[in-house]
Amino acid sequence: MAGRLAVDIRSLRVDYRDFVAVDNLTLAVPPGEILGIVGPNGAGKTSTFRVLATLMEPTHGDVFFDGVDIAEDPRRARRLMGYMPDLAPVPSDLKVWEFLDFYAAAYGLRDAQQRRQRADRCLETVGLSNLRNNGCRELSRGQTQRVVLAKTLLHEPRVLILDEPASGLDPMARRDLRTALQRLAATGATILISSHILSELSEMCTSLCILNRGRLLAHGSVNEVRSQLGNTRRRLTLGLLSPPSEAADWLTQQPTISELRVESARISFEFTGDDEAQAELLETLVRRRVRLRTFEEKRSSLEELLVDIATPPLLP
Amino acid sequence: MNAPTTDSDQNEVSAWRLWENPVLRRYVRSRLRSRDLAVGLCITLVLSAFIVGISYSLGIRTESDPMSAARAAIIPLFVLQAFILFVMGTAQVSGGMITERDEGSVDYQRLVPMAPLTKVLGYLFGLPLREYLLAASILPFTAWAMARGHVPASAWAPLYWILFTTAVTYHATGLLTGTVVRNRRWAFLISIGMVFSLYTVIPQLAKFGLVFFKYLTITPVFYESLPELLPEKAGAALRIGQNFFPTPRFFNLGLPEVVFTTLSQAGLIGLFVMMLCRKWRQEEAHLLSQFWAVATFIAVQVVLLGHALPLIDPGDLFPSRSFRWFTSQALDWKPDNKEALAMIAVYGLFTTGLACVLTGIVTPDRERQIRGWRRAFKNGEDRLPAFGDTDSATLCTVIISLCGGIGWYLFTHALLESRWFPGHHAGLHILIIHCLILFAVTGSLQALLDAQGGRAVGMGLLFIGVLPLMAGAIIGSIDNDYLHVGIWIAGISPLSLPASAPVALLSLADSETMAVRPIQGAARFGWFVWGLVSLWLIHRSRTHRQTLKQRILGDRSSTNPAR
Repeated sequence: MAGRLAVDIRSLRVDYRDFVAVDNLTLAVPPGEILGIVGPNGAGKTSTFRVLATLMEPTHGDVFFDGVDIAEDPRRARRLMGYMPDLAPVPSDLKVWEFLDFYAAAYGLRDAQQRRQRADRCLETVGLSNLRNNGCRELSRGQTQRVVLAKTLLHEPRVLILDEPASGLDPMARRDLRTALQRLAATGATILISSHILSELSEMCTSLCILNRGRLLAHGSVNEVRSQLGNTRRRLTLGLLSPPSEAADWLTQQPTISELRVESARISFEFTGDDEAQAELLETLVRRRVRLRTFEEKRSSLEELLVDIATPPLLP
Repeated sequence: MNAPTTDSDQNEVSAWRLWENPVLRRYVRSRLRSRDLAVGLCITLVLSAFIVGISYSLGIRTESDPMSAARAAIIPLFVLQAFILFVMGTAQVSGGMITERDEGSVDYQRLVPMAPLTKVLGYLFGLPLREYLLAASILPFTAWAMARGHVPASAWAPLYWILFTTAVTYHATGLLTGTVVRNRRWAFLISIGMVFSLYTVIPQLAKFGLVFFKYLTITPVFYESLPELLPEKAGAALRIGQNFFPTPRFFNLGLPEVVFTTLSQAGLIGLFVMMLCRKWRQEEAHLLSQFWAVATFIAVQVVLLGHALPLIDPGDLFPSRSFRWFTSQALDWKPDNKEALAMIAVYGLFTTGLACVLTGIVTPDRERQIRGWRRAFKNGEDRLPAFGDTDSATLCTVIISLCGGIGWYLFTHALLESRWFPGHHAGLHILIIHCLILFAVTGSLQALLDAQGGRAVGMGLLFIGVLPLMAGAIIGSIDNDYLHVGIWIAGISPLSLPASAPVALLSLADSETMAVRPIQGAARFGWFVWGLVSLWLIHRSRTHRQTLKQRILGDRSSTNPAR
């Protein structure tokens, strides 16, 4: 099984003395997938990434890249993987090409011409070919992030681990980054990415995983994640031709409905049933001769989902 | 993306091909950029020209001999080079490494598939590259002064070789502290402190019989070459003075100063590089493996004894001998019993201190023990790898105590049975007690670290190690009537055991002296109490390890899925 998966995490646990940062995390990521790892601060994202990047030994558990156990053969694992940390540093005393040339040489590319070609190709991938001769200290935050991404791509890793790569990027740069990552995934690279910009992640990622307090809460596509979290809550708004009071009276009695509001010819409410229950609700309203003019559904965003998860319940 | 890169088209750079080292080449680009280099180079050249000009003109004026006048410039130029390499270079290495770590670049470096030694050598020679170039820019001035001053190659070649090896020793020290110490401010302070100690404090131990330590500095070779570098008259006077201080020979092997200094410094550099490589390979690794900790300890004992023992019979080991050369009493000089006791105590204290440092290095903390057990269980083992980083350091501590006890005994035996102290003997019971003292201290430290961690050791050191010594010193100094009380209170501290052992054990101690009897009593009581305490702590630590093992075994069967 380990051979078929690009990334295979089994029962991963990371302790800092008595604090459990990652608790029994198991994840299987097939090749070519872009997996977004989402969670509030302290969820265990960075600890997980540092273990995956072989920078930290887990307290317990195993991680495999393409079947290679990273604890047993970290050097081979490092060849397979490219890691971009949060707030990635670039040395201010080097030029962009010197920075890339240094890492290309460190990865064993001995021929200067080959190094140059590889660096140019990576710069092109991240859209920074024009800054080749600039000093690293002259780069903006977004440009720095992209130069570091170019560096991460230098040895053509099969697994990319990107910790908050879009932080500090302007919308244009974010779009370019998204395009670059999708292009990489299309070639078979597997990308693990963490971000707080959840709308970005839902557009970019083929699957999501939600972590909170070190535990995996959900894993799958965006919709699968919603249902795994039991988050079927949505706000429904009905536009009516008939007087709303009669429909409102009936709706308030339904257990799946809350926060009902009536505004002239409109009724809006929170609905916690699933899609089937929602269809039944509409059907019943029509049967009760409520004349529906419009119908609008608004689901809670991923951001709201994350806020819900991260917010501890109020004490009674 | 392109086709995935295979292992075959990525060739690791060999550590020994320095010119291909990516880290070194990175610093060639950044530290030798002409714009930044020009300022430093201008200042150095102007300063060197000034030194040569002023020394030569003053020399001509006072010596009226061009050869001696040219020689007058050599020492100031050498001092400037030493300042650039030792002070600026070491600050650059340690500061540069701290910055790399602070910025997170070190994590990047850890991920690139270069051998740890390649990275260490790259940083060691790359970070101070500009300082090497600045020091080299002074060489033409030095060469002129030496040629004009007819300085033979036998004087300047060893000196410049040792200048280089000493610079590398200090840079390695800076690199180690910059890599290991987590706190930025502490790293810098410790780095400066270590270099300062290597220069000044540690060589002072040579005055108390630990002659080897001066070979970690440039001093022996510098003083050997000095007569040839100074103007003729001063050089001749110094040569006469030097005859009073014969050179210690390692087990009478007769190695030249330059060879022995090179070997000593190479040993220290090798040790530091080994520590750095272990840290690069795995950030959480011990600085030394248990095997290398024992080997290092034995090597230090051998070099200490190798230098000290041949100097006992001629009397050159005794500090009072050096002072007497300058007095009229030189001919009827004889060492004092107290002097010998103090030297034996210093040897014991140093040996105990080194044993404690090495024990601290190889004792795994709780996190490391947990990881070790989990890994062992994962690999189907039910015991930790013997002498591995996660294994208990008790056996290592026993071996270190044994070796330290033997070294200490050999030193005591050689002093006591030398021609200076007729009628005194060092029986085998002294060897046993030396070993037990060392084990009581290091064994307690190891067991406490193992079971309770560094915080408990810190508190223990403060309240049981240091405070009784302070309180004893204060009470004992009030009045002679309180002296015995002060000694007994100080005797509570395990740190007092190696210091009081010679007084309690050896016939050299004059039992009629007021302080001797209470010291003997307190020492014997201390051996008994600390012997029991160490056994109890070791038992506790073994129980703790077993409990930890069972807990992890339980965790594993409850949380780990079937594989």
